[in-house]
Amino acid sequence: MLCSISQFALSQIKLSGVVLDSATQKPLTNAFVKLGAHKVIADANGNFSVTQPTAGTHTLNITHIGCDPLSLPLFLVNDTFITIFLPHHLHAFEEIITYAHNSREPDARLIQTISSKKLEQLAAVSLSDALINTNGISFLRTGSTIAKPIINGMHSNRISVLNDESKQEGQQWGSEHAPEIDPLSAGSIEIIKGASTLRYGGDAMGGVIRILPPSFRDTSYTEIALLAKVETNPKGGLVGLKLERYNGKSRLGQRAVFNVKRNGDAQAASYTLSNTGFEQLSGSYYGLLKKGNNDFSFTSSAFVQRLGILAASHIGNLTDLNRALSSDTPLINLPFSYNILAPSQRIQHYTGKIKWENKSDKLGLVSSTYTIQNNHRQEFDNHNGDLNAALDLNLWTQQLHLSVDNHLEDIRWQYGAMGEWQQNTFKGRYFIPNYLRYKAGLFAIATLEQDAYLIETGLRYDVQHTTSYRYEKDILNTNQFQFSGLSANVSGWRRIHQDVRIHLSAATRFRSPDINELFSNGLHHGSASLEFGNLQLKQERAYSLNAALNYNHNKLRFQVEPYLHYFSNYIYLKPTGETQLSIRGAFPVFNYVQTDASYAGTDITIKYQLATHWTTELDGALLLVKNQRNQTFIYGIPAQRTTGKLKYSFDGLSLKNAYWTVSSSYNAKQNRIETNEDFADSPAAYTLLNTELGGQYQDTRLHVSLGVNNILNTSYRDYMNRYRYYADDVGISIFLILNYTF
Amino acid sequence: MKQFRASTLTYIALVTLIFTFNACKDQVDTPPNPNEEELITTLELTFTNETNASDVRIFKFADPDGDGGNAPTITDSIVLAANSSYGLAVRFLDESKSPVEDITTEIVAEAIDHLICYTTPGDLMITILDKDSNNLNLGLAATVKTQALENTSLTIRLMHQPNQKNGNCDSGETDVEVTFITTIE
Repeated sequence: MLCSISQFALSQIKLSGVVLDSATQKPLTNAFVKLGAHKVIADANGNFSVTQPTAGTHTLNITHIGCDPLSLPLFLVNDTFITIFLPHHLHAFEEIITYAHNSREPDARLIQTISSKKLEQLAAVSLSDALINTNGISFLRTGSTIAKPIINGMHSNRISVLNDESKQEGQQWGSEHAPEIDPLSAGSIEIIKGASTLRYGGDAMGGVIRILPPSFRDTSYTEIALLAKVETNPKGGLVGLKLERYNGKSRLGQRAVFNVKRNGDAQAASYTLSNTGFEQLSGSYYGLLKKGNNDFSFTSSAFVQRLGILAASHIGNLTDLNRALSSDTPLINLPFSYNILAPSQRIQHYTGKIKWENKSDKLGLVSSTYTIQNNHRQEFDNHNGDLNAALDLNLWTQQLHLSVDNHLEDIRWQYGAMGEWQQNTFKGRYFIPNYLRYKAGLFAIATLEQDAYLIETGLRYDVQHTTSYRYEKDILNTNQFQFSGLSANVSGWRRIHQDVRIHLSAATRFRSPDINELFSNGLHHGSASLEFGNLQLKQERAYSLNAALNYNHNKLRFQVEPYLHYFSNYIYLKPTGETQLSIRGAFPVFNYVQTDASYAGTDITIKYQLATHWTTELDGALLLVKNQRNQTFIYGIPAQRTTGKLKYSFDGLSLKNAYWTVSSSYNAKQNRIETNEDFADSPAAYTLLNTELGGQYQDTRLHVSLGVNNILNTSYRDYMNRYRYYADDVGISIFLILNYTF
Repeated sequence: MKQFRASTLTYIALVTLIFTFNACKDQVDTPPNPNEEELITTLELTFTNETNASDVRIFKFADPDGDGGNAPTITDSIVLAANSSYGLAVRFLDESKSPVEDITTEIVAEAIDHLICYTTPGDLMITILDKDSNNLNLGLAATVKTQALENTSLTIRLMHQPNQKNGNCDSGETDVEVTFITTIE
């Protein structure tokens, strides 16, 4: 007995060390150090020591207030002394670029992650709220309430929004159709730029925004969180409730989220933007049960939105448009109101999902998901009023995903298949036809990781078959379309120095013409344009190169992400420069055509810690898009922009982990346009100034933030906002966000 | 809290499925026929000489398939006598239906949301005679006075101005806009 104890004692290993601030090299006191099940707190000089009973691989976790938690795998053989440089005050730097996925599986994708906590602090009820501070993302807007993310200069059909692995299906071809997502229901959001997105389909050429389910802490708990936001412009606010519960014994996690938002008309610097109110109701339930090696999860969500369309932006014909353009202020100017009148949109989106994951030594991680989605979009105009929708589209989608993630020797293999069934029906006015569409895809990805580099290669095959049903001059016509093709990519990263990492990715992918590109036929009501689809369109193919250079040393973080996409048979809506006469008057004519195009650009982020409490950040995005067949510019591409940010991190004013930021963003005038192609000249360059103060109130679990957007109440119009023809963008706004967790 | 079993999850999923498939009854292969939608295809102007009731002149603009599609089929020119006064009656028709539907009655019913506007670069003098219930001009009936000989044009617009009608032509949405070549002889 005694013998065995001494034997035990003999193999004990002592791990001692010191925790230092990586910026100042000074000791960090009271760091919390955890090695396996052993927990200690570092003393005033940053020293700690833990005794671990067995040799082998252990995980060392270090947490310190104001620092990102650090987790290190250690292989312990002898007593060891370790010096840990913790990037203290780096919490001043926001989202950190990560290359590895949460599971720490080798992965070559260029990923940015936004955590659930961050989403709550932003009170993000729309995807645009959630992504607003993410470098390299801008938005295609219709007023202040409809925003579609732009990655690598691309949006709509060339970006995929995914719920875990199932693509969100909601008429995303429309430039005034925002993604029907409530980010507060998400566990986190991943933004995957560029080419390394084969797993999620070949058509997301710009990138992928992935909504991930929440993960539960591995201990029994119940948490209730309340969220409230009030703002002055647009006047209104939101209330949110989140219930989260995990039972460590039965290993059942559940989360329910419910949010309501309501806003009245927004105010431009000097007038009211009539009929721009907004209402949103969203709720979701997520349940996760872990049983042995199996994870079962169930998700259901409901999303209902009603939003006003700027009264002055809904126009009848070219004469109305010219009348609107020649006026400096909107032609319809009513007093502020919470009421939403026609023209308006009402959108409902419901999702149900079941997922089963099984882990085994033989097969690795096998996951299967079934998703069903219903999207019902109704658009009301002045003619049919609030009762009968002028445009009424009902979209049903079912998706099945199967995938395997396994390690063979040094190589990680991911392979799988997906199938999709989709049905669209319409009522009222024709814009796109009824259709039935089947999609299938197969993919395989192999990843090899070594110490200093990682290389990944993937192959994907996609096929889709569409049958459309529509009347033409009283005759019911049926059209069949089939598109298929291969996508492939090679990507990887290499650490060329302790602080420098480069990423490279090359891919070829294709996108099939979408339903609006094939079938649009006639007047786009409200925007006074005649749009004609083309049934002869071929699929477009992109050849993409994405790179990234990351430098990360103490006080400086630097990241450049250049990209080049070359498209053959690029599909776009081209103004013909002609007008067509009808009884409604004259209309400009737009056709869907194909050309060869190139997107060349780069996103840049520089973060520097000026002093203990002060950090600065500079973001920039540059982009040049050209029609390669005739060397002309293409309509509707974001202008160059930069954002500068200064942040002061402190404890004080009854706040902990507090921050105060001032940011200024500059948007250049879009000069890369063809003359006489657009209705109006590009809006002038503008600069906006924003500020925000936030932090945790004393020792409570209350997070507060107070901010002002557009401090100088600048009058401006943005090239990527469709309302720019009719009215200024939103003026000064003050907001307060409260976030309390019980 | 009751333990949440995998079987419960499956059950919820099945119920969701059954529910959704029941709701999924829309027939994809029987789309609505857009030709059944209301359309204005024709603008008809009837001029009656106020001093000679037998001098009635009818001019038409017809675009049988509405906006988009084919070009208009009838594009009359207006011909009126100089130094005369005409009573003008305006009708909007849907000639794609059989029998032809007279949209004018709907405009009369929604007179407070509609206004017919007349513009000419020439010497025609147009006075609107009819009013809506708010005593604002409607424009389906007017007097047109011609002066000396001229070659000019007359533009007629049907404006839809829900909640914003104030008697002026500078707000709302244009439902119909036709420019007639006009000869005063």
